[in-house]
Amino acid sequence: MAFDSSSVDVAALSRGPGRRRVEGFVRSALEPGALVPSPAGPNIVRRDEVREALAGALGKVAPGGGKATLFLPDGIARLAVVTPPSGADPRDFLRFRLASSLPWPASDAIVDVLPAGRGRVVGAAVRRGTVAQYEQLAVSAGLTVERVHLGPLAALGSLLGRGGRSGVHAILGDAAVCLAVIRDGDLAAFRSRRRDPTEGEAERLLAEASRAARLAGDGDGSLTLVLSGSDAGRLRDALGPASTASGGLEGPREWPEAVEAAWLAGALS
Amino acid sequence: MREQPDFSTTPRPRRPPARELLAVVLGFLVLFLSLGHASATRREAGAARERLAAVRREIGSLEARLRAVDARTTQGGELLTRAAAAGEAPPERIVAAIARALPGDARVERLTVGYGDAISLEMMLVARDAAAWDRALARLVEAGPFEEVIPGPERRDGEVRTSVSARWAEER
Repeated sequence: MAFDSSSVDVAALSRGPGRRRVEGFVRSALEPGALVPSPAGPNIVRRDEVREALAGALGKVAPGGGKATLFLPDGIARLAVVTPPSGADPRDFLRFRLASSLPWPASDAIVDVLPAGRGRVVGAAVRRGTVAQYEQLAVSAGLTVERVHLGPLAALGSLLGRGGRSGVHAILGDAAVCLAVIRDGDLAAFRSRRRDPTEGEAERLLAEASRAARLAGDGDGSLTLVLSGSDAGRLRDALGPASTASGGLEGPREWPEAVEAAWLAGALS
Repeated sequence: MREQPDFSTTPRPRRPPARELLAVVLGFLVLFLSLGHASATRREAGAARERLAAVRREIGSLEARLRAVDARTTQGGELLTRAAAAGEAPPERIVAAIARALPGDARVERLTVGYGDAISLEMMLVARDAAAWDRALARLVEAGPFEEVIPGPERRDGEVRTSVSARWAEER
């Protein structure tokens, strides 16, 4: 299940050998202000409302409860791309690099990394108390939390490695967007910033993507902009042929929201 | 799902990647095979040691038998040598040669023939007097088949009775 300020998504995935498939998907909308992704403050602002939305979605795709993997929203973590020295533990190195910039004590941070190719890792630091809010919410809905991932990192993970589609990938959350320049399956550049959903967001996003592509060594910034996540359809419509969809999911296409859910690609990869 | 960063407050142990898992399984497999092979090799070494000990025991036994056979062969050789010597120089020929050599006034009272690598003669001679003894001794020396004729102690007054040793020297 994935949380963001506008909705709670719950997807039931097939288990067993081979590629996972989506067996069911429900998006349960949240009223503004019920869930506010934030690095340090309370995220589940109106707990009952969020819990009710979660229970409603679970009742449709996973009524028996059971084991769950949580995907936390963009905007709660500090993200960074680093190249750890040879022999250094990437998590320790990232903790060391981020320690001075965290708005909470470094000892409260949960740090983990994703290999990004060429010896680099992209990692994140999340406040333990923030993660606990989401975990407790899932437990109160009768679930056993197995793992907790960060939505944008999960989406990024599905883009890396063999078969990774070259381009500038905009992974959209409700509160923040991650721009990842992927070239031949490796992460060439990565940026994360809070979204400004006011008029002209699509053009600003395209300009940001072109700058990211140029900084990553793509001379004329001509890499394709691939949009996925929150509002991806609306932004694609605004940009026209300058952008494209992420490619979508395998399995039944009966859940249009699922096709746009960036975190779900990570869950299925 | 590929291994994703996990931010759980109570993280579960990470599942090792399939390749590492496979390497570990292969490692254990190789270890078990090596242990099995080492065990089989130890058993073979033990069996080889037992076989070696048995062969050594057998060699010892054969050497003992060989020594016994050698000893018997040596004794047999001596007997054969003696038998051959006796065949080529029978006592009657020796007695005849002595009878031809001795003059009429001397006689042989006792004759011992020893057959070995050489044929040794030990005889007790009785001569009528000293002159007869001298003649008998001279004829024995000159007769030819006798060599190394050595007279024993003698008394020259009256009848001479003494021993003479010699070697039968007739060509075989």
